[in-house]
Amino acid sequence: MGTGRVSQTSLRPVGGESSAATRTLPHVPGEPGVWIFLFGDMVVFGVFFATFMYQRAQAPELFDASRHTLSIGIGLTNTLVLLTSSLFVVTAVRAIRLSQRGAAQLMLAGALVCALIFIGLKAIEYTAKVAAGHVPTENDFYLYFFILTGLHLFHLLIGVAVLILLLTQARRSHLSATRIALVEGGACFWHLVDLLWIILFALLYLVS
Amino acid sequence: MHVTIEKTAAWLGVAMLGGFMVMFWFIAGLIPPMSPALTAEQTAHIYSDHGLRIRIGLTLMILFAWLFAPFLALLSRQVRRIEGYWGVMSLTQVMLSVTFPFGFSLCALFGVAAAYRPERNPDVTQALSDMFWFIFVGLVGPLITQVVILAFCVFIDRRQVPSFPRWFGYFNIWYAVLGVPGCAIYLFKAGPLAWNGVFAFWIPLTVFCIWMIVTAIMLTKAVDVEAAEREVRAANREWEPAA
Amino acid sequence: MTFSLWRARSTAVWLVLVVVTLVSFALGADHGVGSSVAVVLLGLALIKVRYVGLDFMELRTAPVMLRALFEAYCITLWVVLAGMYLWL
Repeated sequence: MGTGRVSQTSLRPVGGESSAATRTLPHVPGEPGVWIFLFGDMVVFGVFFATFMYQRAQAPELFDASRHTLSIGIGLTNTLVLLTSSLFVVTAVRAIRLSQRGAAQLMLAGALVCALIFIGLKAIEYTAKVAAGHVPTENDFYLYFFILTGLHLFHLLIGVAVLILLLTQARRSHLSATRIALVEGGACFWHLVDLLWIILFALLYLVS
Repeated sequence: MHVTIEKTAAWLGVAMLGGFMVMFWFIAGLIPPMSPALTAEQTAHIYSDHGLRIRIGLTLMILFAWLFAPFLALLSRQVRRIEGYWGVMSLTQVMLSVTFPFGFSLCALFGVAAAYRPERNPDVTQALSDMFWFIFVGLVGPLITQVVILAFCVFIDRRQVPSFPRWFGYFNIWYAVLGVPGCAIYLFKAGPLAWNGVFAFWIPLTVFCIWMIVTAIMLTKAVDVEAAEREVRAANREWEPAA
Repeated sequence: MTFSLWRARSTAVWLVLVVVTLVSFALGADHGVGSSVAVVLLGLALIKVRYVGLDFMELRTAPVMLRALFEAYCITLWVVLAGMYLWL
């Protein structure tokens, strides 16, 4: 590729976390630019969360009552599914570093399956809610429920595209520094999707 | 000479951003937006009570919206530099740039129409007012596409000295993702996705302002990169690429 | 072949996250309005977020600045959301 620029990221040695030498060299996961996007998204979602809490304060009983009509089982399952998908992704990245291509591809496929399960459960949940009469226009809680989970789903769909991209990278026999950075950055985006859902689950299903 | 004109174009964009805020907010008072949940009578009242300032602010926008064009032309030229010729991405940038000033002037036309005859039927005024907000807040597709193409170009730039640093690509992706909720305003009359809501209006407005300023700065730097390349080519007595 | 891949910190972290999730569920499924349990639940959520960032996003071995920003985000979010819950 030869951009002539000094590489801003350090290559993580193949030894992995067990090697003491790696601890001395700080390594930016992905590349610095990715974190502009990740932090930016986290901050804006933080604003969304705060907006939700503000609305909740306007009508705490309504929010609590509406919360009880949610399918908390689906919410819980989805949280566990996403946590598992993140485990698959982080293990896949390790496999890629150790040049275990087959294992990496298997992990990423597993993460994709988790993503599809999440989407399927979401579809079931949305349909069930609407069938029971809980539509976004019903009250403020459901308005925010559908908007926040919808925005998250949008991010998750982008994440699916990213996972597929990671799968194509896992098939390569050799990854340059830039491609490793791409893989790490993509993995971090997936973890962002997971992390946002962790907060959403707590906010929407547990705390309201 | 090229450099002066191009940098002026970049800063003209920022100046127009300031102009837009002055015209829509300070003069016309249309920001903060009125609520979509108002009745026709209430909407008509707003346009008749504040008719003069609305019409003056929007008239200025109709006249000056085109000042966004040089900024966008510069953006398209930088994309063309990365692409290497007037290819699909550069031309798409140009085509979408054509729609950009319309996002401001066309909506302003509906706005002045709404304020033009206070004595008319309030339903008509409300319909015209709705069109103003629909175009102003809801027409996000063209700009989102433009910045996604820009981000893509930043990432595929393989030259020795790239026009834009890689973080700028991620920055554009961030802006694109946050600009999307604006398209949902047609489905809501209240709440965060209505045209006066947090997600559909305030956040996209904030990130739009940030985007324009950051992009103007990055464009001036890209102009410097291009000027340096031009000098090197002149020193080596190489032909400049056509257009 | 693959078994050694799993013997890593991230797998242990995953286990902890699952447990914390189930505990949160048990705690939070039925609590009244305005209870302090909510503050705990939010805290647990942000602790989970912290572990996702540190061990999944690999911020533990990242430059201090990046990790500090992330941890600051977790704490700020917890304080703001819990504060809004209790005092708004």
